[in-house]
Amino acid sequence: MPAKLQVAAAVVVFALRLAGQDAETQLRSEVDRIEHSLRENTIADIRSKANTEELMKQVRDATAQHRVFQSLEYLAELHSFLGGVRNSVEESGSPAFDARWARVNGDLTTLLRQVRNTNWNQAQNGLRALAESALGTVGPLLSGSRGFAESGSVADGLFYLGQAQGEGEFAKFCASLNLVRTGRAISARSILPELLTLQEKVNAAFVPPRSIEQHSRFIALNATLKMARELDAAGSHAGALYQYLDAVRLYGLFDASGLDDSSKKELKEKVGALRTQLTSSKNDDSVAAIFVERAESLIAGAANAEEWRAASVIAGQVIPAYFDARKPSAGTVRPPHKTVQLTLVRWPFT
Amino acid sequence: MAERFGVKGYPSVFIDDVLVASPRDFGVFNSGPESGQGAGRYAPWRNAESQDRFKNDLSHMIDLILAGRRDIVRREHAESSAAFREVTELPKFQISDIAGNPIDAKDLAGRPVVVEFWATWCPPCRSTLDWLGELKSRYGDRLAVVALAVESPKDAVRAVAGERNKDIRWAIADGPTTLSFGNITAVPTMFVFDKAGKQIKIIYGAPPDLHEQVVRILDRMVH
Repeated sequence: MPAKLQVAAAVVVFALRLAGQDAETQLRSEVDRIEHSLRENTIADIRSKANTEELMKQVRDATAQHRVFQSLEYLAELHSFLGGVRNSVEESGSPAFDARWARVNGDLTTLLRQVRNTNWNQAQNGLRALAESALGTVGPLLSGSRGFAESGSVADGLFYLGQAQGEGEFAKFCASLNLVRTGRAISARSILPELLTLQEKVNAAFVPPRSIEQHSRFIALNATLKMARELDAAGSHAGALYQYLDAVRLYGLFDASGLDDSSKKELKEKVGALRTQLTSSKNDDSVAAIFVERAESLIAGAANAEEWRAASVIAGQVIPAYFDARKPSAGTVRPPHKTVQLTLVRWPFT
Repeated sequence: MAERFGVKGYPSVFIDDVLVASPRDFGVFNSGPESGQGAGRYAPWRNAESQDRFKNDLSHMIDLILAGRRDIVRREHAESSAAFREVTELPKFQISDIAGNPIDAKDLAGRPVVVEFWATWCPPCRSTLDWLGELKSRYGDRLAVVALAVESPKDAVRAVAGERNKDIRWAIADGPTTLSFGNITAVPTMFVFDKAGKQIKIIYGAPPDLHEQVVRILDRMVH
């Protein structure tokens, strides 16, 4: 697409956002649209169907509670999952997969360019963070789908190809969402120093028995840090910040202790105070709001011990890390003189 | 890179383009010095000493490569994972299930057999086992399902089995049984054999389309 047309497309997307419905209405419409599409194109697998329905419910419930960011996080999951499930049921051989991959790759390249050209300066930073994170997964999913089709089965490749499409669709939806920034924009900067510090802490924590007992949590944490570094290197600072804070949350869960009744009461007040602080902030602190919404949701109703711990990590570690990351960088990162590339090839899906 | 090195089994570790560890180094489940078979330098993997040994070796190899001594690393790790084995037939194993009843491979002949290697500490295994229970209910006596636990405490295996389909044959795999199925270096690993005991499919891990893949195969074989 010529550059002028790209800019025009981005302007049109944003103009629609300003003139259109409010974000909650848009979210409800999006789930309705997905639900309608499922009536025409049903999911045969019972578990996949149930998972899809649960995610749609979560989007609706979060929207009803006015937790727009939480609703968006569920919607991202829904798009990704649905994209994969819908694709993987289609039968095709390797040549058909290659042709399809090339077509999807072309479509997504165009879509990604359009979404990146959106005037994000006027959108809430939290929305931008979610869109950048989705965009950041498209490339790995696309290349991964090829690898899985070759070394696994075509159906595996199609699943990941569908997920890439789902992530792209979600980013496009974010670009059309009417979530305009009201506070001052926070200055975007690289958070590489913070990421390297956290990576060092994670490496130090990876010792038996914890490295064995909590192996899957370490995998999730390292994957999140890797994603944050890739987004940071690409200049997607909002997405990098979001992923970094999620890594802080995952790291914090290692040592999170249980809460007694008095601590629970204090935590509830603290989360309430954080909400007030963010709402009245003159800055666009919407990336922090993503996590505060999660904390609110965790402790609403009959929270279990794990949920209280998780909310406590958000209030006690994630939000302070956010405000620290908003400050100017504490130091520069000196690249090492020599590096090696370490590659671990493992069985997929284990 | 894995293709270039002829790596067929995982995990494999590369520093730059030098293969420094392959499945034989990590051994297979239930292998180790005490079993006398299949033991690798870092087996058993779920063990603090093995992990320390791997960390130290890796640091040493990185230092060597940074010092320009790839030749030394290559010499020490000349063998690739070419020795990776995949069984072609249902092995002739004999083992006791968790209730003490014998399971003999020859008694399973005449119907398709699904063998699942799993572990109590493996989250994807849980959902696969649930689904295998459903599968067993669906096909009944026309299908044999054997769930072999590796590197898992006996009590935990009993607890997991106790909550699931009792018609699955639940057992704790010993070293020889595990080794008879080839290089089991990941859980879950699922084998599907036809009525004649011929291997039809091996699935490493729990891919998203696992159910569809296996049901497609079984529907063709079970009448």
